[in-house]
Amino acid sequence: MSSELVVRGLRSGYAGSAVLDGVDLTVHGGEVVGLLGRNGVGKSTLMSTLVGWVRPSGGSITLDGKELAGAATHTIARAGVAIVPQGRRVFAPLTVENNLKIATPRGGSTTWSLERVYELMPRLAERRRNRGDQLSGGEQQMLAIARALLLEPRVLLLDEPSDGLAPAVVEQVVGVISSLRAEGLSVLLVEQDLHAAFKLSDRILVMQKGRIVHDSTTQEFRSDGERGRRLLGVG
Amino acid sequence: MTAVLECTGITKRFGQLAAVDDVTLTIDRGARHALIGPNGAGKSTLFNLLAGTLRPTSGRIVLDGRDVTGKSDAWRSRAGLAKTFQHSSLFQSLSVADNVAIAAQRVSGDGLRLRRSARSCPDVDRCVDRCLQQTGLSERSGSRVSDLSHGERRQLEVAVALATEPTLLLLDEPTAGMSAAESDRFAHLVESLPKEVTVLLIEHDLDVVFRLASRISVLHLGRLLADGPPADIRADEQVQAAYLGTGATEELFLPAVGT
Amino acid sequence: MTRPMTTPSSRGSDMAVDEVVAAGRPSSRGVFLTRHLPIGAAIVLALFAVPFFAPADLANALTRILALALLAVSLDLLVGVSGLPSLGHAAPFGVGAYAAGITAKEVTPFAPVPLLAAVVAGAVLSVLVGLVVVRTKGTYLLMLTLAVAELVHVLAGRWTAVTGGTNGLVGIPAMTLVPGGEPVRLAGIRYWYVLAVALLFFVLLVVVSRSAFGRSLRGIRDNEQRMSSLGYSTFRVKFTVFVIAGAVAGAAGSLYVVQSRFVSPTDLGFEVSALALLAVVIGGRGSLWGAVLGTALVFYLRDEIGPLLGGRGGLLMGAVFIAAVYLLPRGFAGIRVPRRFHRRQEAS
Repeated sequence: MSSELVVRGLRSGYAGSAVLDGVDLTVHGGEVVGLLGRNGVGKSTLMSTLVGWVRPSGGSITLDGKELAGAATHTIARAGVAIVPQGRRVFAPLTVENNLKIATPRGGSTTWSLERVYELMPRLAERRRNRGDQLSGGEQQMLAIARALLLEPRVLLLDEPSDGLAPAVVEQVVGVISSLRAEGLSVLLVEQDLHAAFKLSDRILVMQKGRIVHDSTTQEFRSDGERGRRLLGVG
Repeated sequence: MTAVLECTGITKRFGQLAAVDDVTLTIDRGARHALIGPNGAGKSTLFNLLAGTLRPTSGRIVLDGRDVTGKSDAWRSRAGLAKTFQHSSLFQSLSVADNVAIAAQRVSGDGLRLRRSARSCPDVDRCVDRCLQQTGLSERSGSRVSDLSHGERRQLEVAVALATEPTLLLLDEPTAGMSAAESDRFAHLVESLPKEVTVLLIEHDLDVVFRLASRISVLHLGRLLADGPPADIRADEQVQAAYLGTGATEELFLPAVGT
Repeated sequence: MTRPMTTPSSRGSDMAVDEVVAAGRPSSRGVFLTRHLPIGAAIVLALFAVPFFAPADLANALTRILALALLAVSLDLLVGVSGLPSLGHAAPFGVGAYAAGITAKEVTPFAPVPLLAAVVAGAVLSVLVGLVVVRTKGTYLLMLTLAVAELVHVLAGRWTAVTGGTNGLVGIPAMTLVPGGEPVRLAGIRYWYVLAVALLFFVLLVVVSRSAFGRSLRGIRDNEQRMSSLGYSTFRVKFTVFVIAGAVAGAAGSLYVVQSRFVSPTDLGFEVSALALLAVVIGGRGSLWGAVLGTALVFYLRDEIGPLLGGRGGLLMGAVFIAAVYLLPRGFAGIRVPRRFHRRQEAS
């Protein structure tokens, strides 16, 4: 049972600015949507707004029909929206195991248990006693993903998972995300690394100046190099 | 054409990391010079080095023929360098006119005068009127900052900077958070600035950049990747590669199957 | 230039609209004076008339209040106008009081001389303290000024030869208004002198606040980093206002001595600094006249209401302070009669 995230006319910003100027997007059940765009277009603000860190000034966010716009962060998290933030933000002084235990909801998990997460990312299992700040960038990224999974998400938001990672490590992370895709999880992926984005995404959205200006299948998007350069490159 | 600003071999290290790596750049007088680059390129760091809020690890910065490398931002402001802040940095409790007046009175010397009433500084008032007119805020002169829209606050930022009668104006991501309409208005504002003021702006919005810039410098991973007129930058393969990621663009974009 | 369609933060009341309209009108000194001058003049006249209608006790109480009100106003210049929070303003006040008292005893009780000595003493102390303290901000500044005041307090208690130690400085002669003339014994005359001098310094501080320099002070309060990037030497501006505030606090100290004819280390103590700050906050930061109102209120609460509560005056003041901070962020001086109220009056 896969969940659908629908965003309509979302407006958001800081101190009156219009960073998001009417965003419309849909993540259908079980699909991976790649969100691309140059810096400053509002991708991070979109993630922050979806997860409740920033209060939207207009528009709607619905998860399987339930309205989440303007709700408190913990309400949104409990509703099934989990984020793997840019820069990972793992708890540095805690061990891997404790980082994960904090994330486990009180009633215990059904789909994603600690064992299952370790099975998906054996490297984490090896490092379970290590502190957050003793992990490499790639391991931290795995940890951040694992932590989000333990929340039993209906939709997973990934904010630039390849950020700051070496190409080989990015490959590993892409592998993990691919397995999640196979599980039928709905994913919204913001990425600067176009290779990773194209590999993982079913559909590609491009954002510009607070709005979605392109929405098509990955293949469709890749078919026009001129358009790609125009939207993402220089001129 | 003489240069307003020359930086030679500017490097800024934070520990092992070189946020700005051996950058040599010249800003010509009267230019509308844009500094662009993908995220983490070092643009903000370079901006702060030029503005004086950071000191370089090595290298020289020369403003209008004077070496300002070790000088504070206050010193550089008095030497003719004005900047705007990325997150609007205004005087919240003062009116729009007073915001500009504070900048103007520093130039006229009234800022330290105890006996000169704030209401009777004709030089200051003239400057305020001029700057508000140049930035399209004449009608908002009595308004409070908190009553301005985001775009208007950014305009006020520019008005305040202009009031110091700068030779070089540094704009830090001026259109961040602006809607397309506001960005357009702002670009128009920059276009109508007096030619005596040289402008250097950091921008992400490439539409604004290509509309305004007479010259573009591209930073990538702390180094100067390219530097030249807009047409050259557009055609530069290295710049494209920097923006699109390390892979060759041919691999990323494939011809449609079956066409 | 038309305003884009972004909505301002939700306030949506008539009052908000009125405020916007009022803000749209360029504020000018003329408007301020025509509105406030009549009230101000009436109050000053009433104050001058007090000795004709009230017993000596009231004149004496008011004399004390005026001296401390001047202290509070000078503190408001620091705290409210410039954004430099100080918990040590009793130091220049007390030093001024001692200087005035010693001058009256050893040199001459001819009023302007002790006054001058007090101003100079307050200024000198502030120069020395300011050089160290003005570089800091916020909580650090608060703590440093408190520490310095405590140091001065302890010094006043120890330096018996000069200050009389913990017993205080006694035997201060009554002031004279003519060199070598008759000492003033009437409470009313003393009161008028204090009122006149306090008024003089008050006007001085208002002039400073409304000057171009005053605008610079507000700039520093609102955004010091911005000021520095506009080319201001913020240290110089802050140091200057710190010395001015200290000099006026010293003057307030001399006015206090005129009435009390006694100075002790308690007058340099934390309680004085705290009361002054309380008065500033309750009265309204930045308005200067609000501090006068605040001082009157503090005294009323402490000396009139307090005894009715069985000596729990301090508790009451604390409660009023908390209430003021939450309910009246701009103090009593910030209360504005809403335009809506006026309109209804006209309609009915």
